[in-house]
Amino acid sequence: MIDIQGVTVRYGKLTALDDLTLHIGSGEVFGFIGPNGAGKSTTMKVLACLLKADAGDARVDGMHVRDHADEIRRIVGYMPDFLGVYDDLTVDEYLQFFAAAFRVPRKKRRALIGSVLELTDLVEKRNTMVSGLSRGMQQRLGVARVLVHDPKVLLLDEPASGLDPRARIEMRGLLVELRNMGKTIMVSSHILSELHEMCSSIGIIERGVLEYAGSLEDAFKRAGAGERIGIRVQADHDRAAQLLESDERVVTVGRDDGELVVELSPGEHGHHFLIERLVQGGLQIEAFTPRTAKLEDVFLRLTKGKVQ
Amino acid sequence: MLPHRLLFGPIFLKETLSSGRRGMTYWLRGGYAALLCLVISLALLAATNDQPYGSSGVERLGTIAPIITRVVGIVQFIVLTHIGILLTASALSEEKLNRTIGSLFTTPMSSMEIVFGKLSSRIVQLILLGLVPLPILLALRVFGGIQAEAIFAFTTLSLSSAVLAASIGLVMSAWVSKAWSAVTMGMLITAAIYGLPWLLWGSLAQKLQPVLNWTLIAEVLAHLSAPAALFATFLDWQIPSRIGVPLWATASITNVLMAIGFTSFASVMMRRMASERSARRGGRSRKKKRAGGTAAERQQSRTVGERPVFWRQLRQPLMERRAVTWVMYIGAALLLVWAYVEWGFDERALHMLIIVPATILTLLSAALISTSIIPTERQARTWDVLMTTPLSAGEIIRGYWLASVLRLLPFPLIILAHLVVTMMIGPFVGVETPITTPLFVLGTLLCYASLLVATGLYFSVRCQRGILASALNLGLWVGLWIGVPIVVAILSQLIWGHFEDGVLPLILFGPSPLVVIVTTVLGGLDIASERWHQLHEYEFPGQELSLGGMTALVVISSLFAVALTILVHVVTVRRLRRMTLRRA
Repeated sequence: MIDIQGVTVRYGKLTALDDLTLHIGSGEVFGFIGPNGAGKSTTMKVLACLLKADAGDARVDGMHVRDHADEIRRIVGYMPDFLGVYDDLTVDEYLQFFAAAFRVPRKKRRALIGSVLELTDLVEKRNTMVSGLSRGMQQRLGVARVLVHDPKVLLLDEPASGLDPRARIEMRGLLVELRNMGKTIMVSSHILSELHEMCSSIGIIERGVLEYAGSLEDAFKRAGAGERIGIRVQADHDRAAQLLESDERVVTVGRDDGELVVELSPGEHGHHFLIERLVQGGLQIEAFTPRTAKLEDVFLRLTKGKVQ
Repeated sequence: MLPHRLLFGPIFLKETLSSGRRGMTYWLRGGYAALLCLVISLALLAATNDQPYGSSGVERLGTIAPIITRVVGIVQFIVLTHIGILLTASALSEEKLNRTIGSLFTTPMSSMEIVFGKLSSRIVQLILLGLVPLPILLALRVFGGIQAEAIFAFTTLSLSSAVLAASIGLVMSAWVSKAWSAVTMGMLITAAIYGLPWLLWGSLAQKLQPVLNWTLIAEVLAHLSAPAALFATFLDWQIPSRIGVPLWATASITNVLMAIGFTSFASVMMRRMASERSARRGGRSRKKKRAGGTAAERQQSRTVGERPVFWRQLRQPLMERRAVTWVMYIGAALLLVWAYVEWGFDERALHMLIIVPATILTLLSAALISTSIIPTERQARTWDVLMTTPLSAGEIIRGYWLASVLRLLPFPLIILAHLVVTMMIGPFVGVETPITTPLFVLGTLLCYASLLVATGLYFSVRCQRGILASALNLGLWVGLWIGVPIVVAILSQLIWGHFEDGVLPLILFGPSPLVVIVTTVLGGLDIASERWHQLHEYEFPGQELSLGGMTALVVISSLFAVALTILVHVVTVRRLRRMTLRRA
């Protein structure tokens, strides 16, 4: 559905995107991760036909963004990171405005707006001025706006930024519903745990360079994440750490709240050898807990914390 | 609070630093210096040409120097006053749009510090501009003919007037959120402050002469009014000063005191804004919550038309605040009735007093109404969203253009209402061709208003800041309608020894709506009076035209405006199309 080949974008001397190549299949939910200024918004702007690439080519649904901007706009819904709204309109008028702009036939508009308001849980706010909505509601209105022309592809740039925990949970639920509707979604977020739960694939970008793109499973494998075990021993933590570090399959042994956190090298090792070593060393084990890998770990391992 | 903290606090520092980084600051200074150089050169050329043959260079300069001082003084006064408004008209509204005003309210700075800091940073810029002509004028003083007091007087008057205008711009900026509204209202209020007292004096002087000493009142007014002081200083008007202080000094002090008053008022408005924000945050609204929810919740949604950009733009209130719009309409109606009763329909001045200000107001609004549309969308971050829709660049620009032109209609309608009343009960009754005057006036006015809106949109697309777009559009048309004819007239006088004859005045003033409209109305009045039978002609500058000639001129001039509007529209659409897939 989305195909980016060697796209480079420069702002003066700054290279915002450097030879970016990326493929997102139809119906995928692609989480785009990267520090601020990494190039996520620039990538989305290229796909939304708002920005011209200096080199390379991007296609949406097989159409080139350079030559088919009008057609692409009809099948893409783009929600920018900072949502600007016409605050002199009501919610209903705002959605009518964009429905008319997307040439939705007048007869279909009312029903369509009703359904997107229902989906975004804004039915009761239909006649409220946009300026009277809370931040979370305005973000939901932004999602309603991108849905009003029933696009195949959604580009959502930080849809949960600035939202309180409840609004974030509601937004996540909304995105899951959109995924179930079969939309192809490219979503960027700083809340990595949210992407973990709803994305089928991720891309990690840093300083305009795509560090990784692929499935979540592969990302975990590549980052070596997922192989961390928390071990609590009764006494002599230092000796326990020495014993574990002497095994070549162990990368590091850290400490977290009185617990040893063992990180294993990539590959299938099993965990039994850790118990064996400790028991052989005469140490008593109180707890042995394999730690679930998180997207945060993958992100930290695959990026170097560089910001432009 | 200590004055230095009030004027030179963190806001002053921030504004001075950011204005130093803006290219516009240097373009403004450079452009102003170039304008003054042009004015001085033309005045020098014109004055040199008038000198008797055989007089020495030093003698000539001694005679020319006062003329140049007068011209520069008047130009400086007018230009700096307008720049004063333009510099502050978006000072506070941009903070609101950029949502930075909330951060300012969270600091221990008082609203006085914020507003006076904004003003003082602009005053520095105005002082720098005000000092630009001084070296040349002081150099000319060597040749005699100019008193140092005169130079000091016009510099002080110009700067104090600019500071007053800037403070009015600040009030407008705190009150409304759109730059064009702030500029228009600022200009109107400044014009009212300078002109209204004299208008009232002129109309009431004779009637109330036995009751009040109107000469004394005129003297007091002259002491308080900067334009009167300026003309009295340079044109040697004989206005006595009983208190022994020169007029320019009292007028400048009055301006500064008024500026302090306006700026203090702006700070009160800021304080009110801050308390409203905190009330909203705390869930307390000043507006009472009625049954059925707040005002925001009780709105009834309208049906959006098939052309959404046009639909929304058309529904923008003309003056942002409905109360102001109604006050303006009621005020205009009352003024019309008063003028009819006071002067009667046969008075030519009555028609000029209604049609000329209404024409200027229409053109001024047309020049400003569309300039901040796209910069405002960019600042409110709605532009990117609009650009992702399939609306074409042509549809967007046409929507904005047509809606802006339609929003201007109330002003021409005032003229039309006056002309209709004049046709029904005034001097046009029974005249064979009564319809030509309103047709000529409205046709010309609407065509040129459309053109100004189109160029405003072009600058709106080009400029990041609405205020810069406003300044450029206004400057372009003031330059073309006033500057170019003056320059050409002087050059023509120098080269050919005459200007009034031939087609040159027709070419220069034909595309000037104010000249065409004034000629049309005066000619229409002549048709209705016996003068027509004697003259049979419209008195256009440099030409006397028959009814057929005037009709041809109006048609050609209007078609020229329409053609130019289409051309500007095409250029703007192309520009916008390039921006649609633009470099961020």
